[in-house]
Amino acid sequence: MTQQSEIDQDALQRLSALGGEKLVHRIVGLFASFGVARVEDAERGFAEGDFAAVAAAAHALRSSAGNVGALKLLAVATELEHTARARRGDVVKDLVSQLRQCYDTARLQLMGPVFGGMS
Amino acid sequence: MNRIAVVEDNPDNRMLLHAMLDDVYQLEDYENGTDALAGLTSSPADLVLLDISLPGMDGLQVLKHLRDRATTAKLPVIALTAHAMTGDRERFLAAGFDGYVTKPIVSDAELLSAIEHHLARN
Repeated sequence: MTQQSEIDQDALQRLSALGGEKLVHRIVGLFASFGVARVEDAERGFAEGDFAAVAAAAHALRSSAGNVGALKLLAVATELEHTARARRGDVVKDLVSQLRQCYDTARLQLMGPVFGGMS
Repeated sequence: MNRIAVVEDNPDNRMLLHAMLDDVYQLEDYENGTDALAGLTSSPADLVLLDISLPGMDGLQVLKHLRDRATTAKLPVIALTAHAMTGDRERFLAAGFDGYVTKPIVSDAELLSAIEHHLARN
């Protein structure tokens, strides 16, 4: 069964119109490298009880996700930022887990088409 | 060519801003507020695009330092923010920002228009 795309193709088309495929490659490449570091920051922050670090990591991921049209990741990161700022640990735990899942899915769905199957 | 200081910690956002603005302006990048305040002292800009959520000193603190200095007190500063919460725009304008642009920036025309508007006013 094919997984439904969580990527807004309009966002990628905007990038392409702005700077061609070169810009799309570079922005998606940064999402792959910079984004995973932010997911790890969120996981580490939660493990250490550092809600400010979780909120900061989620906030950074929001704009990266928005740039590449990763809509589900954007929604989860937004909710995580708000709940981490409110220090709602029970909800934050679940959202950090969702963040990892959404990031991995978005990365896979972006890297395949953009980099010809590389992940 | 007008000089614009970009104070933004996310590399992908900096790259996007360069893609949107490099043909029109000379951009100077800063990854945090401390570097921006030092750089703007030695290398003045005509306008600043300032991220709100910076590591360490946040955008509001950077703005206060800029407004407290005679050389940068009237420098046009546009907030870049992914906050986009109800009331944020009013809050940032009340804090002393000249303009407000939400991220992700989906329209380079809107950004260019905001920059030109504030450069012209200055």
